[in-house]
Amino acid sequence: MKRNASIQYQLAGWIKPLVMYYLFMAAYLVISLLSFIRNSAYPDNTGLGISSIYFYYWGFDTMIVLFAIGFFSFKSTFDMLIQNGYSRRKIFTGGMLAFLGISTVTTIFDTIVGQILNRWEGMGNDLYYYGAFDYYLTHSGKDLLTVLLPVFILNICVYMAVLASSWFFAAAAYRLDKNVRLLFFIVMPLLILLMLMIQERFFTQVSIANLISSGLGYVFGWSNGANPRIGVAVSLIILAGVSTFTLLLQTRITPQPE
Amino acid sequence: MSGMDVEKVTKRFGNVNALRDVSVHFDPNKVYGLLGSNSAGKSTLLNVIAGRIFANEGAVRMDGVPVPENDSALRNIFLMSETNLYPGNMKIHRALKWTAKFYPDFDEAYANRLAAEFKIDPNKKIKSLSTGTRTIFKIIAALASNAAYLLLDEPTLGLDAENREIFYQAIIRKCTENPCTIIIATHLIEEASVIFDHVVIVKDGRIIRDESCEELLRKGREITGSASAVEQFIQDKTVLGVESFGGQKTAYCLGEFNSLSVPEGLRVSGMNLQKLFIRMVHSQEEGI
Repeated sequence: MKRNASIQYQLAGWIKPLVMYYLFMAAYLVISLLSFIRNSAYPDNTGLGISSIYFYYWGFDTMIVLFAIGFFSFKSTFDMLIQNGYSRRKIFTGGMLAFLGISTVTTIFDTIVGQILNRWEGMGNDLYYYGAFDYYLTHSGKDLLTVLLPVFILNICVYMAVLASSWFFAAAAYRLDKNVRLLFFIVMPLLILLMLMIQERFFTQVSIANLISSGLGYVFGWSNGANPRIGVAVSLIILAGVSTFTLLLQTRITPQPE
Repeated sequence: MSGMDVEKVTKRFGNVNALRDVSVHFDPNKVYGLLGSNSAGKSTLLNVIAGRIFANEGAVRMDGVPVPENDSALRNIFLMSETNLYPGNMKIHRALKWTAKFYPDFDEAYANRLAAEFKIDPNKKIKSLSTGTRTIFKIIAALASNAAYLLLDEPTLGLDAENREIFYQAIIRKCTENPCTIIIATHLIEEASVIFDHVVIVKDGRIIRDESCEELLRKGREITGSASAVEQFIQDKTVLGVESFGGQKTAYCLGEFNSLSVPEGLRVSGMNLQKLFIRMVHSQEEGI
């Protein structure tokens, strides 16, 4: 009963931000669509200037949103559950089960939206769609129904790994001193960004961004013959590793008042 | 139920020893006063008992079972701490609803009655509450949780006299209608003393007294009279402190007194808990 309440509490915290995210994406799609229809009906009137709708990397933005919500909701969730007599282990297991639910729901949603947009694109409209896991769907050489289930599972595993990572970083940040936290999470990313920009500007032979991108391709299996099973295996390994470290961190942290 | 045992607990924060080899037992269904000066280690002890912070050494057991990271033990403990761990954006009624889900024995009707008694608006967000109202909210959550062990750290912080009275009355009612072990860490010793069954005094991270409140009050005596008579009388007594004004002297003692043995000219009276506490804490004989 208590574990259910913990999962329920953790899930409840996600509803509002996720609804807001999907509403925002829906609004983007509707506005683009309306503007596109208007442009098509009145070609002379450019309106918002939208002649095509781009819906690229659907899924990556979900990952970013999931990471951000997971990272920023960790402290309040942890504090509330500690206040109400939960052990750190139970908060962790409750969190992971909640993550499984969130990953499944967002995967279902993203897959449905992706399939609709894919078909729409196929109908020859000026809509350009590319989902995070489309490579598997289009390059595997297998029919959609055969490949859809492994890709669906991969999608869930990747989202789970992203969510677990968000808690790992949040738990790490929770343990750090405020100034060190600022250094790690604001100054460091800015410095890395600056270094990447300098590298791109002056050392054009090698692009670190491309290296990262192709590295990710290997990690998630895009560069390995479009085999979603490799992606599933890799994301499960990442999930297991990150979860273990998160558990180790989480069982050592103590509530810190603002 | 055999109660809660704190066994040889030591807690360090860097170089500071917040608790040093603390051992204490809390019986079921009693009200304990946990007394100590600022930074004596009261809050640390409560946080260790509730598993919020980890002891460097020692153990905390409830009915013989270790408490830290043990959900079956933790669900019987509610720690109302000075620090706020509730989400600031949450409204009071939502926070109480969630607490009801976390604590299976939570009494919602009682929580609503208490909220009405304290006159707080359940639609207010926790972050918008004043210190006193936040304390009231936490008191309501704690008392209505019906946990077997209620640990209340400064439960009167920011409360006005009227609300403090409501709080004491609520504790007394709870003890008669739905008894549980209540450990109250407070600085308002005198007014809270009426509800204590037992007193635990902490000084510099050590327990210097662990005794029934009634017994302690019975032993504490203030002896006033001429300096020479007082000095002679207290020779074989445990003296907590002495004050002199003019030729008169007042000695604060601890121990059994036979009223018949008190020489003429000396006045012997009882001490209230606050005075006794102050004398004991300031006394150099910590082991008495």
